[in-house]
Amino acid sequence: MRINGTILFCSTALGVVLAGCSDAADPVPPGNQGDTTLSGSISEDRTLTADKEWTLGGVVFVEAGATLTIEPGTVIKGAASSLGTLVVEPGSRLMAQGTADAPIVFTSQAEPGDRLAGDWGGVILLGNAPINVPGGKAQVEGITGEGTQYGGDDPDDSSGVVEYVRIEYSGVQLSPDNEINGITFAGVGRGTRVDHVMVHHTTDDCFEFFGGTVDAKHLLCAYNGDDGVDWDLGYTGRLQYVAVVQDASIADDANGFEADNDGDATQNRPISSPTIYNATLCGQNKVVDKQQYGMLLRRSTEGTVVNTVITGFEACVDVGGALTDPVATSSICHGSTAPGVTIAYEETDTDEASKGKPTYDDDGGFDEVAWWNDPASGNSVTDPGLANCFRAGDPDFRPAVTLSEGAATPPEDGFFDASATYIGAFTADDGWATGAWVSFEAR
Amino acid sequence: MMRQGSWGVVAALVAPLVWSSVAIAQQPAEGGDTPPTGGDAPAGGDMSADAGAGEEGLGEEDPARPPPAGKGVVWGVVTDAATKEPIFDAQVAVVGAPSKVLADVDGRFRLELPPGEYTLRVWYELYTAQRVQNVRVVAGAVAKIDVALSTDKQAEDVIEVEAEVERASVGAQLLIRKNAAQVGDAIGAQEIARTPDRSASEAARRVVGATVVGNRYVVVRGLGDRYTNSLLNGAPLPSPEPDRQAVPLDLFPTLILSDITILKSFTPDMPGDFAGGSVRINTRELPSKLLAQAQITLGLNSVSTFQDRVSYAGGGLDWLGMDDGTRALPAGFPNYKVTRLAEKPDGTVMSNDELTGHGRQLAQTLGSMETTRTQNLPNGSGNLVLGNTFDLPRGQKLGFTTALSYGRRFTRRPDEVLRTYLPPPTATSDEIGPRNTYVADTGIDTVAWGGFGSATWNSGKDHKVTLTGIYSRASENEGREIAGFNDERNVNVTDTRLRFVERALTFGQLLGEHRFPDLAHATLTWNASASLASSEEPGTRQNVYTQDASTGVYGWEESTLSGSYFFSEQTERSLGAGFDWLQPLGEGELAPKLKLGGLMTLRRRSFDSRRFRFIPFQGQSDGTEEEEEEQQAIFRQSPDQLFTAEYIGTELILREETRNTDTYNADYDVFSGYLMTDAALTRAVRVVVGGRVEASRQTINSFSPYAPELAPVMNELASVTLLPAVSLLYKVTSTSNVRLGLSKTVARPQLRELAPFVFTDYFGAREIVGEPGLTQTSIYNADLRFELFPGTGEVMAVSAFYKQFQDPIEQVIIPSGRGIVSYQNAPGGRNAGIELEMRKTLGFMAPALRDFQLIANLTLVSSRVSLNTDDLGVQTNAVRPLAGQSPYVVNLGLDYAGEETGTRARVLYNVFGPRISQVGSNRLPDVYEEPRHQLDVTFAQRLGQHVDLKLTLENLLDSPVLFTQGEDAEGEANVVNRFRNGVSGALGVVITN
Repeated sequence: MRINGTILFCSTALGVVLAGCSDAADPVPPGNQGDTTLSGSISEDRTLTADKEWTLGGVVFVEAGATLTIEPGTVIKGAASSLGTLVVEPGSRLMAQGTADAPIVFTSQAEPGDRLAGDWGGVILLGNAPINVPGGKAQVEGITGEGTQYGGDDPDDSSGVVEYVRIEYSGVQLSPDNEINGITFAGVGRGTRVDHVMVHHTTDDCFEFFGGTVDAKHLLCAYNGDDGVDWDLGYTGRLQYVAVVQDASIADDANGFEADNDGDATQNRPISSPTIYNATLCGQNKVVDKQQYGMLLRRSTEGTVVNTVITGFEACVDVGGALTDPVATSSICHGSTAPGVTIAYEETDTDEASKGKPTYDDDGGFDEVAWWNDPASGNSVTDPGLANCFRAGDPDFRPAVTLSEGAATPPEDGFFDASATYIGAFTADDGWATGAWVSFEAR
Repeated sequence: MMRQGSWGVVAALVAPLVWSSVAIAQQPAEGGDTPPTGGDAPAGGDMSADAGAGEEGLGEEDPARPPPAGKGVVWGVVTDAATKEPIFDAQVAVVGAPSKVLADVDGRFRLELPPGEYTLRVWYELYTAQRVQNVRVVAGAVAKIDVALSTDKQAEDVIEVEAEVERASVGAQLLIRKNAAQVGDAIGAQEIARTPDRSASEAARRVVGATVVGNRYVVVRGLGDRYTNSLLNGAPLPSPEPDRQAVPLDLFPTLILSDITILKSFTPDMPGDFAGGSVRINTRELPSKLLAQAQITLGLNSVSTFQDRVSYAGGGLDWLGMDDGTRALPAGFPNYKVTRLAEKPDGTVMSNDELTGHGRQLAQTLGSMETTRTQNLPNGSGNLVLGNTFDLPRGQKLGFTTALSYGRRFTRRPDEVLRTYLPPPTATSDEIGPRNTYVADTGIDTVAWGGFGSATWNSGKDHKVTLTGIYSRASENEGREIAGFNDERNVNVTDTRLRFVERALTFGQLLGEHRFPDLAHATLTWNASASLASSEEPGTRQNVYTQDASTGVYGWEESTLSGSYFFSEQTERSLGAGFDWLQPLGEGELAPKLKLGGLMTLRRRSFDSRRFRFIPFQGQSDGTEEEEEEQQAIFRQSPDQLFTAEYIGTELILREETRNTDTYNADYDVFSGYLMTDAALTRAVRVVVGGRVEASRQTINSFSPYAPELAPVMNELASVTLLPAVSLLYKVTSTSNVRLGLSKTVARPQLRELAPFVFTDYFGAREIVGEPGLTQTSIYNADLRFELFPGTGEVMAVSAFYKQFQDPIEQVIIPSGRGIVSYQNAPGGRNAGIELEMRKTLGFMAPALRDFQLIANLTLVSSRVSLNTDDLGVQTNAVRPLAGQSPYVVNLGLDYAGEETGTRARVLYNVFGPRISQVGSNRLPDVYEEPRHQLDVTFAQRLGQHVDLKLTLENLLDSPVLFTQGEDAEGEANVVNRFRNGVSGALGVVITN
């Protein structure tokens, strides 16, 4: 039954007096902001061409069944006022295949030179791959509606292609304490191709994985407000060639890797357990007021980190939670900035009142230093020669000499590049982090 | 944003004027010469007035009409000797003859007798019986004999004496209850006066099966406030709360109350959106003579008074429960989005310089973001009541009651424990670990005041019109400091919040009662009401500092909570109109009655909020070490040093984070009509059968004023429901009843539960997202009650009830990073319970205990709701009690009333069983609010004719407010929240004319 209550209400004298009924009070109807502004839902296949500049007006959903194709060289700007954000729902695809010379760029509406982190939302990919939440589905915080639940039982699910894509100045807050990551992979399956993706100057994490099985290569993260790579809710994919450099001007808890099995530290399965080869994590390279770890591995996560360089953080590693069980091998730790710390804080303090101090035993006696120094791990504490990594605004992640000594050979499993028998994401003369698709522009 | 203050004034002033004209237009022709005064309010069990006793009812005809052939008539009015109020239902019997009649609502009786000389015995339950001798009846003649019954103890019956009989007294309440069609319980004004209670919400706690959550919301039979509706003089009330439909009853000072009646079973003549109870607040009726009363009370609290509380610099009108603009957005502050890159109305983009200007203006205007300490003064309250009734020409009467009340209370809540827990890490473990561990120190300055005015005009014997206006305002001014360990960030934090919340309700109502002797004594009651409920939270400020673990120094934390300013405003306007037509079908005591009526309620809500915070202005540093050290030093400063013109624009920049769904409008309209019959099958058995149709429509519509290009997000739920009900009243003896009620009722989703967008109730809380697919809940109710009224003012009752819920709306947690609160129609649930009630004078034990009365009531409920197991997700329990349901509620009291000495005293004990306050997820147990034992003592002494002293001692056991979540390995409860309210004492003086 429908009753036009407004008319009834306003037709009474009191209604006019009390409610100020008038047409003028009605909200402005949703208008079409022109052909190049996307808003609401994309329910049919659509292509964004490179000849136009596109705008995300509000949260834009690519609905299940639809494919959003973006041509190489296309620029998409996120609207500031309406928190422009792209959400690729489970069952839909984003075909964003740029090239090194003609990348697809998601950026701020502001003029170059006036762009800042947090100017717009970000890119969120949702899929049907397994996550470890009981019931198998979870909700993205800050957005609602049909199709915004992710997680399923298809590890081979595909959300499309994200290749030679750069996401910059993103990270507006969608809901309290919930800033959007540069790019969020939530329940995304390994049928998705992710290669050569850069996020820089974002307020939150560059890359965040909520469960799923997606693999990715050549991830570049620069000057982020929070963590470089964050995983949670049972992420089990593979990553190779990951480079992170943190913003020395940011005073926030920001880690290279931040890893949870889930927020409640349960052992819900699948346990978060990615396999990562060839990462270079560069911190702020200074003493900071906040906690900054190369790797903060906690809340029952597992994971295998191999051929990784960690340099310039407060400490290279911190393990939290009694059930956290990570593996790190053939990796280098160098340049911890906290006084007296080389690899990790000695956590010997068990006094409850000391909680929050880095020396507090928050992992049931897990000895990070012994763990790192286990001879069988092949880890070392040595200078990787990455001085230029900290060069403000123009970082160079390459070591002076390729770090082959003690390096492991990535498995030949169809994803990993088995030839990368060196530590770090780069050889001394690597060129993958150069070209038009890369930018470190602060504004 | 701040317009609703003036709306309140407009509503208060204009509404009565409009109604007055309506009333005049509708005023029927004048009637005879015997005005009904002080009749029952039509709310609640109004049918009882017409349908109660098994004796011959008089009807509404003129009692002075000529007698039938061969007989004579004796008629008259029975009144209270002291108050001159008519005594409804007084029994007039002819000694030695079977003739017996009851006085009607106006105290009138009529006897038709053969000629002769008689003795009449006039009696009423709370009065001394009186004999009138030598009454001579002459055939064809009409004799008038008025009887004034006295409450003095002198005559043949020893009767416990209460004060004057209004609806307000215990005896009157019991009588009303005895004759009502519904199962219900009540507390009258006199009863309330013997408690320390200051507001309706506190008083309601004394009603059988009622508990009060957060000192504000009434929960009946332990069913959550979702299953309770609230009516003021029969009109559904709007809620000033953003997140619930429930009406905070602390807005109503006890001073203006006649009674609070909680009806627990449904008859078709009442709104059907409840399952636990329908809370009827009835306001004072007219005095019979000049009434003037003043009261002043001073109070102390063991935790708070004369101690320093957390506070901050407020506004000049805080003592009036309103912000004077101190916390408002600066004058001239843009009404468009104030953030980087925002497009201004002129099409240009907001520059960083402009933003800097706005940021400085905001920080400067809102002032300090830091807490201070203020010494708590004693609590105080006062009130004034004035009322009178005037005689007008041609038997008309005009009466009024006005009341003004004001109260202010200073509360300090130190050492409040706030904790969260981590779930068991493995499937085989049950142990939960600590997560966040905080201690809070809160200071609250609570102001509540209000005015009440009611005027009644009797145009003649058959017509009565009452105009009522209420204005009520309450504010909480709160400073809060939280310190402790935050697990998410693995740091120690301090969180400071300054907050002011003001709520107001303006209510106007015109109410009419009409009798139509020519239409077989049909009666019509009608009411029209308008109200405006508002809640405003201006300028909430919050800051978070985190401790650097290595240096131990605290620095400002950039987060949502930090450097933030929040403004919100909600108004809900409501219009309602309804009528009831009661039509006796034929003459005589067994004549069935037909009742029909309709009710319409239209509600319009608008909610509007804006969020701002300062964020670091990134990219300003070149990264030299010196500069960075300097920057670090800047952010280690206190808020009032940091949020200054010096740093805003260089280190910090303002960002508006108002979300696209922070503005919404919502409507909630209900149109209903009913038809029921009330028939006495025999003298002892009365059956009420009928049905009600309710058509409702709820819509919610959110739109962003800043991004008009975005489509509004909306949802609508409409339904038409038939609600049948049968109730049976069997008068086993003249002092006992058996009642049986069967009915269907509904519970509708609250507006925000239907909203397809995200809310956060307060900073730092979990997100709450509505579920657009929710449907209304159907509840099938069965009630059985046996009641015994052994003596005056005494009752013993046993009830059993069963409620089957179809599609109950329950809170669930949606998995996400932190877990999102949402709602689900669970497949089903049930509540089964027993209530016991006793109110017994102890005179039967020993005559010396005559002045003592024992009051006891107990509610036991077994509750179960089953969630959808296919879609259980992270819910810990698929089967559990309904959220908010206590397994038991106990009230025990001992009352002493020594009439000769003018001394009254009462000891009251109250406890409720553990109830779920928050459902658990991810194998974390549900959070329970633990039983709280409360003991209150009231002592009152009359000093002479005009002065009463009243001493109240509240919360003598000082049992902690405690919320727990499971137990640890040692069997100790995991505390989620714990604090103590302290023991309060207050001394009041009441001066009455």
